[in-house]
Amino acid sequence: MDGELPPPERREVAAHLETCEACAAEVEALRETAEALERAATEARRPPEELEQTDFAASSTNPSSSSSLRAAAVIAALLVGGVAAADAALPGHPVRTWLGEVVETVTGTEEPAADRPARGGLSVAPEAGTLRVRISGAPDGTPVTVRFTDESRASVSARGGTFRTGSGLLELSAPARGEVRVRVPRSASTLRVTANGRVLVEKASGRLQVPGAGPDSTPPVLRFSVGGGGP
Amino acid sequence: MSTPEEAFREHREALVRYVYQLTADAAAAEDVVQEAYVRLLETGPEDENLRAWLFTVATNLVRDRARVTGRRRELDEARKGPEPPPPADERAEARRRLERVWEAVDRLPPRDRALLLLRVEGFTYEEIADVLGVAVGSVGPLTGRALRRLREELGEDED
Repeated sequence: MDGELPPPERREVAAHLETCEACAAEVEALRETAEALERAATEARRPPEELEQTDFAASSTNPSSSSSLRAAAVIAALLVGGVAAADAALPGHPVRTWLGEVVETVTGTEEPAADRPARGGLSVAPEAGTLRVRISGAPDGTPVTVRFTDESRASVSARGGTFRTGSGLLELSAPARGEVRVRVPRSASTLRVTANGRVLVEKASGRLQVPGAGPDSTPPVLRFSVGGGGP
Repeated sequence: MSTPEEAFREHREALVRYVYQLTADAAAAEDVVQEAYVRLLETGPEDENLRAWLFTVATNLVRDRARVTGRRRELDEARKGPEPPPPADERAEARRRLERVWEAVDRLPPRDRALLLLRVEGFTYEEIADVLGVAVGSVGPLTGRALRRLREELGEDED
């Protein structure tokens, strides 16, 4: 049916199908099913345009929106007042809820880092719940996206640069111009993401701090723009 | 020789389509394709078939995620409640038929689903065997079985 049989066997099967109605009917039914799936794949369940256009290797940040500006304002409020104060001031706000989820995982069970095979390069598992992601030498205006995920490892992707990993440490130096994407597990109890010496995200003692998140930050994705001239 | 980035771009569109059709979840598809890209930069193949390598990584990531989110999805499905009645006009009915095919695909075991979608993407039996970690000789019988299961699921939909 897929033309994958070698010619001698193909001839044999074809000869059999000419004389066996049951097998011929079965092959025809399978062919119709395969065609129905091909039609469905072509005409339905196409990836959303936004996803189709995502350049995973080097995408630009999304334009800001009023809702993300509100999110940034709430993050700023949290930074000024701390999580407890923000809790009182902004009960039930989605960003508050999200920060709450992140903070709550501190007391949760740590996912064992040894679950997955060790990989070098760009991703790393927390070491005793601690993760550090250090970006240095990023060109001025480099957009950095930090995404909190349910994965057990942190990863960094960028266009070019030098990548190094250590114990609970992931370093990227001198990335080429373009977005740097950082993915960090929510489950990390202690976390610090820095770029050119500036702290972007810090989580310690159950408290998350997000200094200077860009206006288009929308949890769980935080966006930053990094100045040049750092280490 | 192309850079990993160029190689990734060559297969990106097909990979996004495959993962999205496998998961029916744009956010999950974005995560999986991003992670596949990260792994390509880290540990990508040197001489292997890059397309098969990328689809293997993506298939494994989808499988790993399904283990974690399986329970969550079951709960979401349970909360959904009854489906709305199908629309009446012809175009909508054609659309509904295509959706029924996908609903049937979603009910297949994960390996059958991946196998049929790889076939739609034009993978050879050898590449499918690479991606799914099965013997080349078993791809034909597995394809037949997956198509029979899909036909049964479609038959159940029509009942």
